[in-house]
Amino acid sequence: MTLALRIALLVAGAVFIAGTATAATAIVVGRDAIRTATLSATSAGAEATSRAVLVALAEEEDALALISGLGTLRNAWPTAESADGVGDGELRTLLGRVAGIAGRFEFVALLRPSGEVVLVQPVSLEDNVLTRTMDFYPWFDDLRAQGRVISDLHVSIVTRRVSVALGVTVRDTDGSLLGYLVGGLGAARLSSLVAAGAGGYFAYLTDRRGLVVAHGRDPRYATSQSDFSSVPAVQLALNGNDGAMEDHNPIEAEDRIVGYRSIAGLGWSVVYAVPASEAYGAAGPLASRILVATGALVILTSLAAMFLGRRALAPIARLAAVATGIAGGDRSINLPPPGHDEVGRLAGDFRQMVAAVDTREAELRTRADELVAANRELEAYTYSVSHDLRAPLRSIDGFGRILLDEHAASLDVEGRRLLANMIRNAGQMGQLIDDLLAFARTARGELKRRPVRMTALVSSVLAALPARQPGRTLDVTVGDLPDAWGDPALLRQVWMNLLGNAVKFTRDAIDPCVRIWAESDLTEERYFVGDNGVGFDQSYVEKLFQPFQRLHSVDEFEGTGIGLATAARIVQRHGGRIWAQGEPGKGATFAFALPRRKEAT
Amino acid sequence: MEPGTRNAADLMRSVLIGAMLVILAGCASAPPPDVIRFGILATTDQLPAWVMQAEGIAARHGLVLEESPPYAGGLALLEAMAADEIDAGYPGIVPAMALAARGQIPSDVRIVGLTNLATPAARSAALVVREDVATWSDLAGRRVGIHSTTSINAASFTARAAVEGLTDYEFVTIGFVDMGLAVRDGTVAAAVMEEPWTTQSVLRGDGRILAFTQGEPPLESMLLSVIAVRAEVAADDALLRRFLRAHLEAVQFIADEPRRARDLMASKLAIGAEVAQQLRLKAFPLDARLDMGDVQALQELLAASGVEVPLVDPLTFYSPGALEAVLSEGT
Repeated sequence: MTLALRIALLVAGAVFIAGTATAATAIVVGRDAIRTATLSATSAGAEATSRAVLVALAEEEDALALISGLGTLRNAWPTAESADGVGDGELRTLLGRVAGIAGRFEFVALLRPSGEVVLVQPVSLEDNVLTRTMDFYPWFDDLRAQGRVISDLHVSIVTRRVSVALGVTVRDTDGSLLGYLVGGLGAARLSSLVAAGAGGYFAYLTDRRGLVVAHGRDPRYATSQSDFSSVPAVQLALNGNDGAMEDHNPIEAEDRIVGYRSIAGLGWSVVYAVPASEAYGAAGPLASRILVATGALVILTSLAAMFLGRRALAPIARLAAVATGIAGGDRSINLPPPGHDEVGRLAGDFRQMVAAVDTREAELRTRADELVAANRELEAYTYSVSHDLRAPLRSIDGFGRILLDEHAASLDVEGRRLLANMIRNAGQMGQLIDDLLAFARTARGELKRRPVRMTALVSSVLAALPARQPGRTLDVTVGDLPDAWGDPALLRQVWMNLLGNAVKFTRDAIDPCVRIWAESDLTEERYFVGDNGVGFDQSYVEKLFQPFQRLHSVDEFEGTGIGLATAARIVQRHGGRIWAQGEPGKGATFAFALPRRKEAT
Repeated sequence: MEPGTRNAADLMRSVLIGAMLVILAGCASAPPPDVIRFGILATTDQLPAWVMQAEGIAARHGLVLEESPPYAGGLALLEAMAADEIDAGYPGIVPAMALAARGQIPSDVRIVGLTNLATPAARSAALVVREDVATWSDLAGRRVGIHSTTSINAASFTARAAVEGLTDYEFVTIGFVDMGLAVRDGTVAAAVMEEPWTTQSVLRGDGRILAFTQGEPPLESMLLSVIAVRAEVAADDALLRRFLRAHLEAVQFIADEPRRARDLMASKLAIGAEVAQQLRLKAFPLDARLDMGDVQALQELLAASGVEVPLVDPLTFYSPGALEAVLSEGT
């Protein structure tokens, strides 16, 4: 994943979190604002409805009170004896006007102080009256006690339908009680007390028991006198409280925001409500818009971040390309120009670093060339010296042998011993010079690589070694050896040195044995020579492959100390590696690895 | 033309023809549903119709039930059906008998099945009484609220009162909806009430149930409302069968999902959920068959109770053909 993409994703994530948090906050705040405003509106609606209901009922009551004070009514008031004669004449006409003035009473009735029904207008309802008294109604007790009454819902004996009775006192001029004037409001008039408002708002009224008197949204709750006393807002209002709240109406199975109010002096409740779904309905589109805007913001910001990130990181990308090019040896890529910002300073520093690397590389190349030249001179000098030393040394050896063979009789014993020492040392020096020449040759000349059948090569080397000579018992095991890719002559030298050492250092072993095996993987072939000879201390392993370093004296084991150094140099020239593992008295294992042909090329 | 070219052309032609067939198939969508104008009464008897429409049963049968505003009573509903204002409804069986007596069944209206009845497991017509009424004898000389003195409720109360030894009572006609408060205020001592008003009044504390006059002796089984359709609808046999299938499925739904059905009724009747879940539903028979023997027994009861309903001809009152055909599909 690119850095620009990472930055874009980081920015998008941050914007998403911030946007979501902002959107959620906006939605919550918006919803809370709607709630607050709706609570206020419903509270005001409940108050206004309460006033309107009071005013409407007061008008009806005042109409009754107005008629009750008229002299015409008093003069025509039937006495007990004349009760049977009512139904005609002036009194019925007057009551007909009452119903006409109010226009909303289903009936008007005259009651005696006992509650006895004297007269009902319209006259068509007279036959409907079940019993000619209203004294059993609970509201009649209130009428007698207070002189005025607005009843709860009840079924009227006059209409046999649900009704609310309004009653006032009728008194004679001397203040004595003549009776009562009662008007009945039917369901239609009661329903008109409240109406549905706009935006889902509506009101309903209940009487003191919580029975629905009027319902602005669904009049069926009023016509069936549904019991709303279990509704929390109604309960609060019936207990004399005013306020607003979020409410659940279990009867209508609806969550609402409501304002509630107790109607003063009447004890009824008025609830002004709006379904929560409608109140918060406006929050839905708002939330949708906020979420869409947040999504768009995230997308746009991500694209912008990716674009700007790419632009800002372009110099770094060029630096990375330059670094890659430099690593691949390409200096042709132009560095970005240095600037004053962080990337510009980085480019400047990078430019200086590249210049320093170039300088150092040139210095190192010069030094390496000098070293190569010096090494060549040294090798040539060594070769030359060794070669030149061989001629006088052969003369010393030759003359010494002639002297010992032809003139030994003229020498005493001490003279012959000294002469023999001279010849032996001359021989050792000659071996040393041969080894030095061989060692020098390994660094000279070109490698002539070709496939080498290592099994055959090892067999040939073993045959030439002293272990194959009569009188020496040595158990040699040769495993499957993979072919190698290298210079056969030099690899023969490696095997000669390693196997020669194995034969030499197992000389004193009870059951000497040498094992030769190989391992392979995709990149190299590894060849091993293990023995059970004298072994060596592993802590001196580094010395083994250095020229003239020996872990045993010449008296113990002959040698010049050049063999392993020569083998190491040959292996290294093939691009391989060489190593050894040993333990004193328990033998040693020498191994070398050669790259496979593909790797070697 | 090379053979390969001809094959390609044939393939192209086949693809085009196939595409046209698909397009034509899309254009030839299902025919629009038939609209059934359904006459509503504000009673629990209408429940199968509400379920039929609300639960998608009607739609599955290619029907739309278009509800009318509530009619005041069964006879008004049947008269509206005879006048081609509505196509179907669930009126009471007594109004249906009255219409039959006028000769409008089967000429204008056909009775094609039974909607519901009262049984001991589904009692109806509760007698709700004031607190001071403990026994039937306490009603002696007092007023009893009744919806109509010529109704099946009046007949069943009369029959039960006779069994209980009560004869001196006074019927007072009051609407079902007002009966509860009438009992509560003392306007009447008792009232013969239907659901949901019975349960609403009892929960509201208006009174208590003394007995049920339908589903209890002497009237353990009593036919109550029927499936009525306009004669022209009945003449369309395929349409009538679809309607009856939908009705039977709705009845099965009520039996399987009573809570959902009752919740639906709460919204339709504007009653509280508590009332809807507690009220007593009448028995909606799963086969909707109307037994003419029961009709005859009902007529005898009505006659004995003084409800003047002329005897109906069993051969013309009930038109069972379509229902029997629908029922035979399931066997």
